[in-house]
Amino acid sequence: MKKITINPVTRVEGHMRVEVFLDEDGSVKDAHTSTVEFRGYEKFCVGRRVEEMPRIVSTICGTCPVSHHLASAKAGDAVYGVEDEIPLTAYKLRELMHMGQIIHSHLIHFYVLAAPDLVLGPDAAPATRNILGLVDAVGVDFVKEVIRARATGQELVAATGAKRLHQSTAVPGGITAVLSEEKRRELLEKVKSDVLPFMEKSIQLAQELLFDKYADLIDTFGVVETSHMGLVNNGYLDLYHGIVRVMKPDGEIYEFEARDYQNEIAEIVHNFSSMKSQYLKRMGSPEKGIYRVNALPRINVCDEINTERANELLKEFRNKFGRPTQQTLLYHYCRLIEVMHAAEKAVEILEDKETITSTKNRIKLEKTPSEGVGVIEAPRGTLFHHYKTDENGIVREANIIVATSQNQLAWNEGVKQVAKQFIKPGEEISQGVLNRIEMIIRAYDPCNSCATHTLPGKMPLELVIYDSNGEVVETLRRNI
Amino acid sequence: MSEEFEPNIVGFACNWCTYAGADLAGLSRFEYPPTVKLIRVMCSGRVDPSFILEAFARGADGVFIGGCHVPADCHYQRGNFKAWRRIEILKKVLEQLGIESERLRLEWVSASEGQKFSEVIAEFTETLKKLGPSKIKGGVEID
Amino acid sequence: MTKPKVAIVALGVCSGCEVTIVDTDEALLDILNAIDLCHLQIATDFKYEDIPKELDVAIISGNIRNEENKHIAKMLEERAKIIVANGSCACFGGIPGLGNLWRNENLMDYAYFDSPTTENPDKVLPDAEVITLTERVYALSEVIRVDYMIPGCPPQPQTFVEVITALLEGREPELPNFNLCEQCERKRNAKKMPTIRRWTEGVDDDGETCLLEQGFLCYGPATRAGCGAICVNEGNAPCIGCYGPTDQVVDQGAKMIGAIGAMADVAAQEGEADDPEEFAKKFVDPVGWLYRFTLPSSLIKEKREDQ
Ligand code: SF4
Ligand code: SF4
Ligand code: SF4
Ligand code: FES
Repeated sequence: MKKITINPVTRVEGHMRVEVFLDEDGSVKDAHTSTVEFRGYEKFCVGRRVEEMPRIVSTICGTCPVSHHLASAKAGDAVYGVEDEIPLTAYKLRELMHMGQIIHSHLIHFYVLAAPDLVLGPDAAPATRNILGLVDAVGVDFVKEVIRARATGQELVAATGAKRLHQSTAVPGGITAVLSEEKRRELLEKVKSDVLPFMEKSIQLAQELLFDKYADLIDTFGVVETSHMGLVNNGYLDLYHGIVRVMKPDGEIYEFEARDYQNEIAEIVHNFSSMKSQYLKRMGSPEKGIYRVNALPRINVCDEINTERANELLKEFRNKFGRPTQQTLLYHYCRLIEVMHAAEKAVEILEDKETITSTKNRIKLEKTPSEGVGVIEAPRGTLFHHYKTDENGIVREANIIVATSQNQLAWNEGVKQVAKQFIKPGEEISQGVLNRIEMIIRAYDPCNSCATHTLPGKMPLELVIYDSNGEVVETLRRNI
Repeated sequence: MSEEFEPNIVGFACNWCTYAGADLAGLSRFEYPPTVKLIRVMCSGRVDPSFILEAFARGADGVFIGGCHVPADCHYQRGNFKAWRRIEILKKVLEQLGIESERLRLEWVSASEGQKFSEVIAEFTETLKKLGPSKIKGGVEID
Repeated sequence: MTKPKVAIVALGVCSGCEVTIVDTDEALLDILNAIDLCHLQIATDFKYEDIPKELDVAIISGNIRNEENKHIAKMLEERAKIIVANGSCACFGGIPGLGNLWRNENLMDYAYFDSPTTENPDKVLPDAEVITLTERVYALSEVIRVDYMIPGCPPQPQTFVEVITALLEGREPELPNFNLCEQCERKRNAKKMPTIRRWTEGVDDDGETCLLEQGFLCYGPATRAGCGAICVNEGNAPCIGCYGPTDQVVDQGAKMIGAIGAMADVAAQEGEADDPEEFAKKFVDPVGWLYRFTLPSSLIKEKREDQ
């Protein structure tokens, strides 16, 4: 394939670019996405005090700062050798913060990014296929409920993290926030009244849309055979803490401790994108080791969910679609199962009054700091932070594997499938192909901010098609 | 190369001691290199850390601060001590930013120490000659 | 009356500043009603080419990290009557500005060659057309004219609302021009700081006394008030200075060094402080703390390397 020349004018738009390559007879040979942002967090974290890291790395992403904040604090716990000694209160406050983030992040994705497509249909005009169009379709009252439920998630975050974004409280050895009894009761009420019942409605809506309206699409669209990764705790879905479990396409399972991630995951570099890709080393190569993260994989890898309603939903889902399910569009549904779980979990945590309002939230750090890995299930998938420090706790090396990029190989496969299906020699290329590509990429809820360690969760999309000489034959644009 | 290099020093001298000391050095014809541009301040404690950074940013190869002897000579009681504390921290900041901390020098020089003043400046000039020009070439834009 | 044409644009960001705009809740609706919104990256489907040639206000978040950021900033400068820098990345460079402590090659070599999980035997790098980093990170105001600033990482909703509402009402925005300590609920007694302690020892924090007085670094004395000292008051955590300095201060780090020096001296007068060298030695990674949000717009701006 020839070296492509990129038109600088189109570069200027901040799009996630999809590049499609044709061979001599005009059929699709290859396709992938490309991002351009790069900030270099891993390097400039070197020299920083490890206890400051949670408040530095949260700015990797404004969409899921809590994930980075907490993964970083967990890495800090490990650096000081106290990962198993965190006071229960601190553990629960952190977990509550995380549940808040899952609630608001997943709901935003479902209602602002996914639902407009599903409710209005992928062929509705882009100008109406957005949240405003959704307001017209489902009514203002329903949207108000969405806003309230999401706001409750944000309140859980604020109550435990001080700030809604770029939290200030998690530290190696615990957390500095204290939850008052008054606040506890208020939050508990809100989750019970504004989130749980609303989730029942959401599930119903999603079932109608996904299971009925788009049933055909689900089985044919963007389906790729990959492994799946997610954290489990005794086999249960656990978004905050656990062992990393991988399920191969044939359903076989293996597990590893996060601290061994280096032996299990490798990253490859692409010349066409600032985003690296990851694969499973055990499988031998990037082609065989392709895996996915985020909601669908988490639902696939866990045996059960330890909250009641979410577990029912899991069973129902599994009966219908099997395990593992590879249908990419089902990510949307799995997110809602997780929100249900997060809300139930939040209630469970908040009901334990004694623990959650205690002020025993930090422990003394007495061991010499050295090295540690922190892992968490960010809304978009498994997130690893790994720091090596000197004996004073100054970071000497940092390695961060973010959620989004771990799906890159898989969505590229999906994009290639669609391109092959819709771009044929001699036929005119329609906007329809963009709709399809858009839906695939969106299912993964990629976050450029994280993946390139920049830019917003909402990605305008640009499709560039190159002929076999590397000349641009066509450019199509669409803002996701 | 380095023989020809004449360092550019910005000096902040406290009115009561060091500035007077410098005057005395001039009157008594103690030779010292013409490398230093002296700015009179009322007290070393009045040298805001940003003055020092700004001097470097504008291209100074070295910054000198002269104050009254500790513990008791400062006319504002603790100005010299405050300056000392700030300068110790600033040195760490400079090092981290790739600027050798030797380029920042604090000395106690009294009104009667004209000779000390000239010696200090001569020595500082030597140090800076060895270090060569500051890495902030031509200064940075300041608005 | 025609509504002012407003564009909200993100450059080198984490997108937190945009999320915060959404978090202004009801106030957002009032603002949206009063303006003609031409571009908002994360919530609607407009494109850069839809940005009108003449704008009344451009609200820009993010720093300048690559050529694309720079290009868009310059385009907006030409088109907009009023430019508002939204958030500390735009105002001062922000946390990614710490990238200025390294050279671009260092940042990229680590990510693409040297990180422990990277497998790259053929030394593949993203093409030069893909990653077009500017020489260093710049704050927006270093590259284009900035008329108003909304500081914060991210700005708290009240700060955003005040600046935007003022502009819509045709008055000067009023940001507090005093230090954060004045909004802090902690007790300040002698204003003395005997030593510097790491926040890893924060388990000793009594929860009531000024953090600096207990030896923990807190940016209150050199940070603009406006957030309500939220980290200290709500989170029992030190302020790290995300609102930047008050109006007259040129260099936030320098201002804080001044404050620390003065407080340490008060302790020293009572024979309670470490000597100046010892004290400074305990200030670990001063640049990473003092210039967490402002390195690109500070006096020195970046680490100096031998040429
Ligand atoms: S100022 Fe903070 S919240 Fe805003 S873009 Fe920068 S890092 Fe994100
Ligand atoms: S230094 Fe910090 S803790 Fe002390 S008064 Fe100021 S803001 Fe509050
Ligand atoms: S307390 Fe300081 S760090 Fe926290 S939000 Fe306010 S200005 Fe920012
Ligand atoms: S008056 Fe000379 S140092 Fe204070």
